[in-house]
Amino acid sequence: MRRYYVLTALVVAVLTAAAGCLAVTFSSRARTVNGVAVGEVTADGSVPIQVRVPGAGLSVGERAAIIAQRLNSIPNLKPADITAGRVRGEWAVLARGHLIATAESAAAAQAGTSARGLALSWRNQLRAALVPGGTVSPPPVGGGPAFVQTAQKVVPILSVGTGLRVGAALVAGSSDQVAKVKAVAQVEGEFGRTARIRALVPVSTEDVIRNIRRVPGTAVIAVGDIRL
Amino acid sequence: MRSRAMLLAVALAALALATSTIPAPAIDLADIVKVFGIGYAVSRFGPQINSAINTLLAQRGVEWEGTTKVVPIISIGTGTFIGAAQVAGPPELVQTVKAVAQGEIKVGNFEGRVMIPIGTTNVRRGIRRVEGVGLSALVDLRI
Repeated sequence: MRRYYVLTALVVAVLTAAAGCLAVTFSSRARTVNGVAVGEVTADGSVPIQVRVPGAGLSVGERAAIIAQRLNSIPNLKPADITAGRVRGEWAVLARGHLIATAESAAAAQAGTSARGLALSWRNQLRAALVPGGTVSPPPVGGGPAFVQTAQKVVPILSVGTGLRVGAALVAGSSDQVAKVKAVAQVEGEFGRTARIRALVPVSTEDVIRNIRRVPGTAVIAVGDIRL
Repeated sequence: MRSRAMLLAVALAALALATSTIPAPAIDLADIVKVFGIGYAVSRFGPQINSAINTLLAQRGVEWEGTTKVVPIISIGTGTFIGAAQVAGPPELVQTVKAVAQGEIKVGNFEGRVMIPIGTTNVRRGIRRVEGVGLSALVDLRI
């Protein structure tokens, strides 16, 4: 009987340790980058959220601390738990429906995007941080846009409905992002009886029927065919 | 004389009353394109088409991070309006886009139509790309 108690205790200890290793713990820190005060939410060395605008009587560091605390308060967070949506009319990032951070217009303007864009960016960064081995690069702070090496690439256009190749597209963007593009997914729709919509999404896989994953920072600049 | 004037007034009033109760026919995109052209149709229906595209992409979980806008496509060769396209990018840049200029392109074996977001609808004055804005959808208008 005593042997079973020891075995059970051992199993519980191993499982607890394993859970501790797999769970991502968020923390925060306050830094000054290029003379700009920044509050950073960190997760295992990555920085999914940077807070650049103080608000509600809180400094950027205090706001980052609250965000980290909110994320840690939700157990066993998974990437799919993180969403973006509107809370009391303002765009925000949420975890299992709980408010994590509000994307104010001032912060969005500073990041060169809209409030919705900032919320979606935070959502994606948090999702990446929750993926084991996922990498997250912090956005540039102060100092304006960084120099980016660009590239172009010809890839097939694949119809999302059928998976068939319906043409070719020239995509452009930063070199590292363009390298990830494998195809352009064509999502089709109708507007009334007169307009046919063909949305073109650069994606990182040719399996567009089951899995469409946009490659951010890239866009289609030309459509056509490959001459054989 | 007075009775004639009275009769005319009554007839006009009756006509006004009758025409005011006739329901206006539903005007759709096809009618607008036929009567006023693609440029006006896009300016009139652009926000609705833009919303429809964003909804379509959101349903697939691949919506754009940034602002989007539907603008007319203008042929670089003829300067005529030939379709519509959705562009995407940072809000302050997307705001400046007035059209997408379409021209021919050949890169290796690739032959196609290059789409350049521009800040004017008059391509004869020169084409200056709005940097940082990309093409996100094409809208084919069936007339």
